[in-house]
Amino acid sequence: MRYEVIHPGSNALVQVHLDPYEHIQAQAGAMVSRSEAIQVIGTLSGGMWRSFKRSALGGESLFFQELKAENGAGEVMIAPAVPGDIKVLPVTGGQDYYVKNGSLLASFENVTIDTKMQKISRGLFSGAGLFVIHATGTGSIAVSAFGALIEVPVPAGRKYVVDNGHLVAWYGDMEYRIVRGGKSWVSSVTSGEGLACEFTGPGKIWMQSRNPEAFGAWIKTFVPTGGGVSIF
Amino acid sequence: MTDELMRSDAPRSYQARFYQPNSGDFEVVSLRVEGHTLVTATSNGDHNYELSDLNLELTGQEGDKIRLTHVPTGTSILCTDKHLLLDLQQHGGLGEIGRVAKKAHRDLGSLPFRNAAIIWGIFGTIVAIIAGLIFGYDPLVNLAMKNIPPSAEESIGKMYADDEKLDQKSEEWKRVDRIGKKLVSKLKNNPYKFRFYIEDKDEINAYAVPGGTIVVLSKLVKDAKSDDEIACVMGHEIGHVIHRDTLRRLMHTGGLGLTLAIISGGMISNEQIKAFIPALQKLESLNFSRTQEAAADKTGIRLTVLSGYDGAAMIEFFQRLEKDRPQILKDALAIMSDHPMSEDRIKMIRVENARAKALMKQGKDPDLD
Repeated sequence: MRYEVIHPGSNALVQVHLDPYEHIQAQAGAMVSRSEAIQVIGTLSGGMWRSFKRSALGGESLFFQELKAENGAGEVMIAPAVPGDIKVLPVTGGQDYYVKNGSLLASFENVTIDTKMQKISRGLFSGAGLFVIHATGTGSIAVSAFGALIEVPVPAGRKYVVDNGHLVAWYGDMEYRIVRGGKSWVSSVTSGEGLACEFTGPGKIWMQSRNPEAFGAWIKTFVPTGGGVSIF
Repeated sequence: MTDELMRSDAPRSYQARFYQPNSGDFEVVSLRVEGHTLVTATSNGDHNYELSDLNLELTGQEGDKIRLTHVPTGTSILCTDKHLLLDLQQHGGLGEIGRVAKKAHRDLGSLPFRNAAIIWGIFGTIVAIIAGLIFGYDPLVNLAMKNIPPSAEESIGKMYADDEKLDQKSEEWKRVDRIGKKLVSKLKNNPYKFRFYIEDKDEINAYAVPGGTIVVLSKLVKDAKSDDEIACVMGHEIGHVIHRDTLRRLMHTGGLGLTLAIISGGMISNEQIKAFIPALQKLESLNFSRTQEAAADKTGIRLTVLSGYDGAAMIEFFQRLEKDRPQILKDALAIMSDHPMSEDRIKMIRVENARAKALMKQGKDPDLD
């Protein structure tokens, strides 16, 4: 199996070359193209209970699709729904990842995907949601972002603050807590920064350069709300 | 393999992640505890760390990772195998690391139960909230209704009457109005201004709107053989009005938000009255509970007898409808599907009718409450 991110940046895709009978798990609807040898199988990845939890709680599709090289070696391309970068992260050495809802594009080799519940305070205010995707095992995962995907290493004992809404994934080795975006609650609100996530190293964080909620709110200002005059 | 057997074995190796100071990258290494030393096999060879120089804590997203920090160098080692804690406990002895390892092992062991307790706690809270909304909703509605005076109910009823094309001119209406006025004249301490209407519809039914508006469908009046039969049906609907049953059902339909708003406001506002409009459009399909129907039956029969009508005439009316069912369109028999004449109901009507008549003979008025 070989996989690489092609056209990195806002229009990234993952191109996967599979040897006979190898397979990957990808987000439902992520497939862009496949060669003849590849079969698409909708599976309840991890079993019915894990799939249901993932769907009901994690925002991922109930059916992660399995893309398998049933008829010889083959190639498949996958991409997320939103414009943005993709990174393939190694899952090795017992390291686990936590990924925000909807940002897990695919898993390769022997990676198990599950849904975990965060602490209530984190779940409500981190921007990642009450339930996040947990990846463990040995292999790789592909995570996608809205905008650029930025990797930030955080050394042991150091802290790093990420605005909620920009958080994509992080090492399971790291702890984090919810903090004010500004110096005080008033400055947090007036600055527009609100709440943020403070991570303590060692480990790595991945964040996206654009905030989907803020982008949606900006788009909404251009959407007619019924009545009024169109400028076109 | 048991924990005790583990302790007596040769040093066991653990897979761990080795973080250099000032780096977020890790190297996968192998650990083992030998004597008072932690031996870390890295790509650059073995590193030995004195146990007394190590700081141990549980960390990670879920507090299930063992982190050993070499205080002098700032090196961090993370591992998820809790057997490492047993080794550290054994080799750390009574020192700080041995004591902390013991506590950490205990904490890790209870983690699944704590997590399960949190999940069950959340689930239980959600169930309790839902149960509270289901079973506690009636008390909230009753509380809200205290803030809705009869005048507000009349406003709600008037909205319905103004909106519908209801008749107050025909011969059927004159008959219904005469019977209705006779019935309500027997009510004591009546806060409502009762109004009677005919709705021109080929259906045998009648219904009550909050505030004293009673609507009788024209086919019922045409098919009734006597004023007693009409009086029984109208008496039943008057029972729903004075028990405020329709208002209560409308409050349920209006939703928890409206109920809480009325409670907190202390008084129903005009805007809140208008919020009943959507529910009023489906008034005919509102179903009362069995308790409400039985209470309306009792009040209706007593009122009917008090007014000089035969309280048991309803039984004959319904039995005739049942007999004539093949000739009457199913859709026209709404009153029967809404108020089925079961054996229990027939028995109750006869008993109440007899009781009310007996009281009248004694010169006493039947209690309408």
